[in-house]
Amino acid sequence: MDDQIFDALVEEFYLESRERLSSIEETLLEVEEASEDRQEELLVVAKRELHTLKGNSGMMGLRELQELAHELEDSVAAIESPGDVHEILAGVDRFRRLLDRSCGREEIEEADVDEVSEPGAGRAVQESVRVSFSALDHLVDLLSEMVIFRNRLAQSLHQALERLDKEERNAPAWREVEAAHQTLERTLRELQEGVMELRMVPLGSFFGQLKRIVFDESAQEGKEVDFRTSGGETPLDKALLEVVSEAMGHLVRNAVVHGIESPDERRERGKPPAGRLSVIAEAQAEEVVIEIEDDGRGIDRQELVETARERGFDVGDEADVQTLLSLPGLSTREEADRSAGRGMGMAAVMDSVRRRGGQVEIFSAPGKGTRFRLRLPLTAAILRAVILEVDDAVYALSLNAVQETLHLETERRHTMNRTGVVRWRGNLVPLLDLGRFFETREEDRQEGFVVIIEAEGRHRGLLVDGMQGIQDVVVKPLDDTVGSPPGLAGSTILGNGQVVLILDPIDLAGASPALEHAV
Amino acid sequence: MTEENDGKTTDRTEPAPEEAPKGPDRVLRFADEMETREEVEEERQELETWVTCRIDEEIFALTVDQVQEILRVGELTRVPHAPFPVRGVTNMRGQVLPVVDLRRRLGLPEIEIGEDHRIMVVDSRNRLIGLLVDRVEEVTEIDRLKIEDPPEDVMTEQSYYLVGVIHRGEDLIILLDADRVLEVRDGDEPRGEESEGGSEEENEEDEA
Repeated sequence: MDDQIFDALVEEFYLESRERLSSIEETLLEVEEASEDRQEELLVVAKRELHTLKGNSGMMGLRELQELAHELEDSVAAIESPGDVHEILAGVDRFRRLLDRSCGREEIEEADVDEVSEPGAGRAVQESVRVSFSALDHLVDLLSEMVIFRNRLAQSLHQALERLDKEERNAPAWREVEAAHQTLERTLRELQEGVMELRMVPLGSFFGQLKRIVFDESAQEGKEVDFRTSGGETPLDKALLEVVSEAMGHLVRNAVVHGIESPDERRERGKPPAGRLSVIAEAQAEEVVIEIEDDGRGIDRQELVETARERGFDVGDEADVQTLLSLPGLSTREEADRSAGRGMGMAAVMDSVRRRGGQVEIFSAPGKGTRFRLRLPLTAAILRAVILEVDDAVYALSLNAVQETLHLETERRHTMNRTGVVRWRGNLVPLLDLGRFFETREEDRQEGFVVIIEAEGRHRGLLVDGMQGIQDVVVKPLDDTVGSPPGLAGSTILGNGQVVLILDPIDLAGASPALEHAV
Repeated sequence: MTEENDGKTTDRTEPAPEEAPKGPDRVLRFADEMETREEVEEERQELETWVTCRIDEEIFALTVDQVQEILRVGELTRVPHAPFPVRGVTNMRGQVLPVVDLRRRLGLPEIEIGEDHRIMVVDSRNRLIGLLVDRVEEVTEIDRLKIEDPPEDVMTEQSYYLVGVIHRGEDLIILLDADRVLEVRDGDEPRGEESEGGSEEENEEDEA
């Protein structure tokens, strides 16, 4: 485990333990004044917290703390009169001091008074505050509202200025308004980045769990696995981490159970007996990319096709692994496997990642191995989007998905299998008229624009009337009442107050144009 | 039931002994104080407050406990391929509110949205959903003990959505179960979509 990750784990353990100690303290303090029934309840709570402390300390390898917590837990169990809590409280103080020492906080805390103003004077306790995620979410919500109002302000300012002639526009008062607006925009953007950063946690804080999964599963399956991780410092939105950690846990478990062969089988195939499994994370400009790769037996596409058909799915011979694994309830194994049967299925993994605006790409070579690539947005709350006009409606589309926009008039359009296509960068890209897809028209439009999008390796040209520009929009999920209609990923509110639907590039790039005509 | 109306008339001059009523109870209390109490003392009642709305000649009602507010209809954004009863989504002070059309829900013919249309914002299963109605009539009290099962000839198919009916003078008020009205169920699939008509014929053009 590299130092940085270990530090993060210690930090996490330290903060969490401090919080637990405070809550134990409060609970114990309440005991003296509580009614008898309530006393019992309180003591159960205190015992449970101490038990957790014991477990966590043990997991961190802090033997002394573990023993002390154990001792305290026992004394809570043995408590006879409410007055006895004082002894335990003293023990809690002892635990706290020991915790400070074990996590290397002691000196820093004392030196803190002098050095707090000095930048880089170590991580003093007071420099770190534990904030609940709901409090942060509330900030993000407020900020989102501000972004909406800023957009509205920009719009009305633009309209107001348009009505003025050049001289009026140059009047000092107007220039002042414009300058102030620009400053507001910049500050808001910085604030946005700052708040988003607060939600970031290093991915590596979760690598420990993966290691544990690999360790347990390989022991269970009698396999040898050489597990490596890198890029643990990569920051990820906490909201995404929750989804991703579950997905990665599943993928890693799957790789050990199904991907990597037994040592004997590997030797037979001329591979080293220990399978290689790596998790590599990397932050790029607009997204975080995590690759989970093994050198196991790979995915047997043909087997998947057959299983899919047995389960009653209508799939073609050429269906790709990606599509096949997205089918609900499809697993290459007949028996409900002990490990892989637990938790989420592969389809659910892919779905959960997509719902958060991420993508899953799968590369597999039979006999050589499998690589899953998760591509995730940096934040889950704000999306840089291009606003598209389609017939009388307006939609927002993630700028990330857009490759290029072309004038429809100048493009040579062809028809293949009753689907319009355009030639783009040497490839034929199928067209999809958004008006037809969303049933606001019956024929493909002949004028307007082609927006070339890419998602999960697939390209599609969306036919639209026009574009209203690019802006940051606040993603608001659609209510369950509305469900998750095809082609839509969420909604947002524009500066003018209008609710606009956010398109799902994966759905649109993947939607088979032939499929709409079939059935 | 929190209402305790019997024998409380003498207390009225004193400050309310129990804690100040909240929300719907306040409306109830207000209504109580406006009316003479003779009737109340005649027979036992369990009063509840409902909000009535009208669709054509029929009066429907939702319990006031679940109605958060009533909005004029602003811009509704259609959601393609959404379940049929969903008319669209709208902006309620920065929140995206799904709007279910009561006409569609009850299988009544759709009409264009006019001046009188309102969206009743309903708290259903801990979230807010809008219910589009032709017009909102009034806040009224009904006696819980007088709720009847819907007559068999009326709305057989829709009875799933009903709590019951109650007579008020000449009128029949149809009491709706808001949670059921606003839930999406089987059979709510998107409708009226041309693509399902399958007018496409087999005519392969350029073979690749």
